[in-house]
Amino acid sequence: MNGHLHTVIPKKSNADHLRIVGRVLDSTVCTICHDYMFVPVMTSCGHNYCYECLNNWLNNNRSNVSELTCPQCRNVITNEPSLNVALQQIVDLMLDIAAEDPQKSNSSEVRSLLTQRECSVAEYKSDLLEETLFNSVFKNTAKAIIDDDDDGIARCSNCQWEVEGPVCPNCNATIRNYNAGAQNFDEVDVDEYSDGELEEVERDLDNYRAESARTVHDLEAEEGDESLSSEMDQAWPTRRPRNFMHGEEEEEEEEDRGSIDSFIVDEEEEEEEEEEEQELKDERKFRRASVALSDDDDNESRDSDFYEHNDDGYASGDSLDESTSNDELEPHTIRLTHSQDNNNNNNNNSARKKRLIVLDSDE
Amino acid sequence: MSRIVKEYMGLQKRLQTPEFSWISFLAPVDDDDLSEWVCRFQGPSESPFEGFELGLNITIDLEKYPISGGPRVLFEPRTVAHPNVKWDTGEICLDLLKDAWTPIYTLLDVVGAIRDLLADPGLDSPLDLDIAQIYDADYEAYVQIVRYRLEEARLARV
Repeated sequence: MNGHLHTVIPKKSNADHLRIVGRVLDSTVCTICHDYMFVPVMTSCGHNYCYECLNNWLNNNRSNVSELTCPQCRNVITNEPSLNVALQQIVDLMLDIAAEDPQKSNSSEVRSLLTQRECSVAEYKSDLLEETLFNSVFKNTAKAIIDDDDDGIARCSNCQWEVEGPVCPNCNATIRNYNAGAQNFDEVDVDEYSDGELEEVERDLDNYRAESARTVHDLEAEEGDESLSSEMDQAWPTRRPRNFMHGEEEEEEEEDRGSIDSFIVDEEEEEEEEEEEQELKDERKFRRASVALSDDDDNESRDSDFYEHNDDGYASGDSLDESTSNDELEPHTIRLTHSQDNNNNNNNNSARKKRLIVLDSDE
Repeated sequence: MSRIVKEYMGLQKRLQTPEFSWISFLAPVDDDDLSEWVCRFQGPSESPFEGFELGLNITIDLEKYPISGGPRVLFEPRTVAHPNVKWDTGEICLDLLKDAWTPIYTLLDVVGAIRDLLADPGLDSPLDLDIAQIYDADYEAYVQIVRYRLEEARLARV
């Protein structure tokens, strides 16, 4: 190596050399623990920390799965930070020179630093050997990445499998950017919108999702109706691993029932507290079928692609929260009147009676 | 050696530098217990707080600091009238002390951020709605209230 700086810098004054050394020393100190970084790791945004410190930070509070971020710039860390070998060599050199000073032969500070280095390096090496770097947080968790060139499908950053829930069905990784509250992935690019616009877009998106989620879920849940399930299979080719959902399906159906129950009960409590449970079930079953049918009718543009592209909604039967369901249910209730002809159900009478009540109380 | 001990050791030297000349006092209540701190600093210039000294009580959870949480910081109760400060308790609404905390911040950074907040209130999520309203509607009245309250507190201290 014989670059220009190699010739110029050594000829500079002592003061300059001190400035350089001071600057280099500062850059060997971890901003988290304020100690020297004997095992410096660098994030994709270029910030260095002790392996141990960054590990603690990334695994801090992991019970609420959220994005892994850089402490200095808050950028999302997607890839496992790697050992910064150049910086480690500088730290090592400094400590080695300090330790070989014959005058103050190994003061207690230097000895303690040497012990620290040994411990840090040993910890890193053992995690590296056991393949548990960063407590495997980058293996056990992943990001859902949505690529517009790939039909906007959300894929696991670990294994490229299609993901739609909080866990990757293939590699079992917890999806970090899956927002449990909103039941979706953060796919709106915040920078593209001004504040007001963004709120509007997010509101639209939420409404849209809630609607499509219910439609898709209701289709799925309607297992008793032969004609409907075959219709559904046509409308929804099985390109993705469908059975992924089956573990959760029962639970979701429960929640779904719960929310419809509460909707009905809310509206009728005063008038018809004594209503039979069976009747409620019939009504639900009927409603579900009708909602699905009427949505199909009204949205011709929603072909099979629609369901494929919106499959994040598929996992979110419980996004039927009060606010959206109350806004959304009314049109469906009205639509029931014509779709009911398609459905020669034995329980039509009780269902109709029920429906009319719901309709009334809505208005 | 824990982070807070390192901060403590370098602190008095840093407080001598011009950068922190506005901090008149920042130290643990008891040198053997670094979980309770007090701070006194000059209100920021070109703000209603200019010319007054403000007091902070700082509590640090030594188990958690700095990875899992920052310090808990309160103004001396019933001294600071400010949109982001609860008058009765001195509680401060500052993102840095809550969700936006990351372990690179130090006690000095926190005190600096609180000082900046005094000069530049965040009106999106005020803790004291009345003061926020006055700040918005009649800035001169806000200045008068702030200074009256600080003067009151100063007299009470003497």
